[in-house]
Amino acid sequence: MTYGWTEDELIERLKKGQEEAYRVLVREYHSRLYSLACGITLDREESQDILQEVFLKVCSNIKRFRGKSSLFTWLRRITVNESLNWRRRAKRRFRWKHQPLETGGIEGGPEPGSEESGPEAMYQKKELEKSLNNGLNSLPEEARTIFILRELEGLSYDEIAAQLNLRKGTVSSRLFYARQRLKEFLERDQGEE
Amino acid sequence: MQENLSHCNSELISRYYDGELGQAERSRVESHILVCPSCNKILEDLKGISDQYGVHLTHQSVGIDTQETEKHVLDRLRREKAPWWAKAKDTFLSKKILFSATATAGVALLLIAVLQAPVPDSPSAIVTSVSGDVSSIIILEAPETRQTILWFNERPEGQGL
Repeated sequence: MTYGWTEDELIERLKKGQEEAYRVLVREYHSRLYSLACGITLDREESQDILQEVFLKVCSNIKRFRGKSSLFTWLRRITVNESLNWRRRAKRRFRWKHQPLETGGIEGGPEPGSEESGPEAMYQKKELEKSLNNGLNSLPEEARTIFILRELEGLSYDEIAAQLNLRKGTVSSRLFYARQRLKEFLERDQGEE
Repeated sequence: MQENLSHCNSELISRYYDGELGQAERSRVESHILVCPSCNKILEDLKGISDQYGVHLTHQSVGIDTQETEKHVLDRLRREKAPWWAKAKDTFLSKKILFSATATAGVALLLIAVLQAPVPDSPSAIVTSVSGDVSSIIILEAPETRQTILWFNERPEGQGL
């Protein structure tokens, strides 16, 4: 159910071009798709642009949507493709350095006054976050996309393989590699302290 | 009774963690993890990475601007739903079209100006010509400078007119 409508009702309203349905669509799925795009591109600003493209594609193609998969599965597919295309097209990874995801404090952190909010704990968390960012940044695009689809979307190996047009064994080995690498980054940076 | 794993296999643990093993293999891994501290550690590490990624996601989604996307999408929707004359008006008033149209008009005006530049008055270039049995003479006058040019041509022997 989305804002009191079933998914079929939402799709029907989207096909009729109802503005309210598009508002609901953006509000309902933006955050999750943004995380996905950001996970693949590692760029906040570009991810916003990609999401605009994704929703505009929905506008143009919703009438052709046959409902063979869920609406979100369709949106996810478009988002992954758009994100990968963006990376292949632009290769502007340097912008990542100017728009790091770890900028600013740790929002959504522990309540002030709790044990976890001490300066040392905050510092450690920030360092861990930085290590993970560095690790994600160091991963090859394919391995990172597989990791994101598994960890963020909880997709099975078969689903990831279908989405990225890979063999299941490749998904398993790339995912294993990605985790190994992230673990190395987390341990190395923790060991340096 | 399930046979235990004979050796540690990190990738197998990773697949176990993701719920990608069949019943028999899963039981073997579970029995092994109970008695193998290093595989237990691998499993803990996998959970640690997932947890850390969860924290990362909460940071990532802070300050997302959905309004801009919403506005963009609704603008497009309104454009698509608009009647054809409104679309045509929008198209012609769009910056891209307006710029191209202005540039084209500028070039056209320039071309017209060049083509319609005042042509010098007569006299025509050829003032007079005389043809004889052995030679021809043409007297020309340059249109702008009014200089007189004499052109003389002698026919080779044996050639008539």
